[in-house]
Amino acid sequence: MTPLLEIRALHTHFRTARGQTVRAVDGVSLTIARDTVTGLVGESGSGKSTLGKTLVGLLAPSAGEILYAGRPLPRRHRPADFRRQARAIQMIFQDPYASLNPRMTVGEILCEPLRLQDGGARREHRELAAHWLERVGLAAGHMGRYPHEFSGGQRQRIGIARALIPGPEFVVCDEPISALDVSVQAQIVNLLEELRASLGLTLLFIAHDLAMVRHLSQRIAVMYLGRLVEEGPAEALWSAPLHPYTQLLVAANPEPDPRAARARAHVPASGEPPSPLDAAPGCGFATRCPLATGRCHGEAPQLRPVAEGRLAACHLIR
Amino acid sequence: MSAAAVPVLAVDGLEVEFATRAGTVRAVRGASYAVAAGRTLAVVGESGCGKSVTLQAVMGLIDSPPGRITGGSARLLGRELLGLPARELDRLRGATVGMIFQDPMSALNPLMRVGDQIAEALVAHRGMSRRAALARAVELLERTRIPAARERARQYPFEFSGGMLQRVMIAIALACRPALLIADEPTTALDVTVQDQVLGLMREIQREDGMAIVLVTHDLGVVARMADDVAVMYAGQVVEHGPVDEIFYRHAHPYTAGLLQALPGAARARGQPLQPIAGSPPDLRAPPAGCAYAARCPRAMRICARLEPPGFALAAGHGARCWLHDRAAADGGAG
Repeated sequence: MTPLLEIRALHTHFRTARGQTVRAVDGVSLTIARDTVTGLVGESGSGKSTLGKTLVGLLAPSAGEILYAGRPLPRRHRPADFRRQARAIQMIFQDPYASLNPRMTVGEILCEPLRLQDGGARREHRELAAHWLERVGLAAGHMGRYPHEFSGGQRQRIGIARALIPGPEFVVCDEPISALDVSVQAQIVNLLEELRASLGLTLLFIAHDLAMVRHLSQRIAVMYLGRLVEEGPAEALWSAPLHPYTQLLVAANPEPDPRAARARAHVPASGEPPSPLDAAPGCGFATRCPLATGRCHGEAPQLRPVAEGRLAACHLIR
Repeated sequence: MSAAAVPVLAVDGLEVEFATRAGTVRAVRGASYAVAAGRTLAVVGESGCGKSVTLQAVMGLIDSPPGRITGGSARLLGRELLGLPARELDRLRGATVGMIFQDPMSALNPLMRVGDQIAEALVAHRGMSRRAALARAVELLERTRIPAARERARQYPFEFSGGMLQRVMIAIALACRPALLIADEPTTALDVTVQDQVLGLMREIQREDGMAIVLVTHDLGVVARMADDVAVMYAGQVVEHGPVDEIFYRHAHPYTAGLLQALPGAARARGQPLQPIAGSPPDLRAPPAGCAYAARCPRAMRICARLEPPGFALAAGHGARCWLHDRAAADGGAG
């Protein structure tokens, strides 16, 4: 069966004012099967949001290609491309405060994507919007209210309804719960899981909270300095990480269990990701890697199969 | 904590209000906690529970109006802080009390070299010469494990990463060897690997200097990593407090239980979806008559909506404000 999404050697670069190149996404290849959740984790600046925005067409890739259901997506999206693609690909954003227009009512926010996709009467749009408000746990009576009248969790529900109302198959969720309190995070994650299962959605769930990614995802991809360093089944990747960076990430993840916290070893007190501006020729993680050899500093490792269903980019993995 | 030791910070029955156009918000409603030398107290709770406001009130950082401290006390090494003149508080902040915040970029002066910002505290509070203070600033940067400290001291904040800036904040906070370090969500903006480094650094320095730490956080993983004692805040009150293991393994308040059960690890253990806390916190312009958590509590009894529960002592240093611990209420009120 054709995978829903195939990302092939994708690059998204930026030019700085000083003429330097930031290789934010630096050759990512990733296959996403239908009806699954893929978690994408990595530190800030690793390029995970840039990858998400490139997938939905908000950024133009510098090289590489994205196949959606076997067909290549346009490199630069025109308005007509977005209109066509709206029924296929959507995005849920991190900040439920910044991503909703404060001067539009909730009804207007939800009808906007329908209005842009020719067809259908305004009354039908409003009925559908009201239906979706209830579907995400709000009330149809909220249609006339403005975003500031809602809590952070309720706004994220509105963001989810707006993304799903055109009927997409694939949704990029860019840190959808990072701005929310713990008890509200659980509500939103449960809602996403329920909608995913009943609508048969495929999700790319971008987050830095590893525990939540593990909970939600079948597969996890780990990004570092614009590249994938490891990808594999969620449980296996978490319980036996192969790449030294994934190992560091799992070790640093604070478990809410004081006995476990006392028992485990902690991250050494120094070392931070280098800037994507001064990219060295070798492995991006070599400067922090306790196992790095001369080869790691000179030659960038490729992402390759290293075990059943598991990929890693590291010279040291046999 | 030995019985004779005076806590470094003791907050008792603190009440803070804010006047807003929509009414008076009772942000802190009788919060109490204490922390001893060499120990870390984590104050946890969700947005708006009053965990940061409590400390801002204690340190005289609340603008009045609109804020107003209407009751309670806060003692630093036995000395009452509430009502101290601004000059006295200025002397304490930075000398006896060091503070670090979530966003180091906004806490530092962008136009001032990092070394000068550290030295400033030493000149102001310790009367050191500028030259001696600058030399000490470099030592402090080394102590917070900033590589090439001498060169870094001459740089400006924008030349540092978020993790490095938080180390600078720690260096400033520790410059005068404070008895108390207040850390308000110090690692919330940092990535997990950098967070682990900064938390480890705080612990290491605490072991050497013996300061007390009050750590405000919403992250129960950070609590498990750092805390000796925990105060759980809800709707302006400390609803449960106790040693960290009591809070995680023998919690006695349904809100604490709700927070822990909402985490993905608990769901995995059950093989179930996540278990959120239903509803939302009460409006603190008109707090409910009974327990503030009653409307969301799966174990609420009739008394809970009517009468505010007192604190019940459960074990050494462990207490909870919950009627479930009142034998008469729990036996008679369940129907």
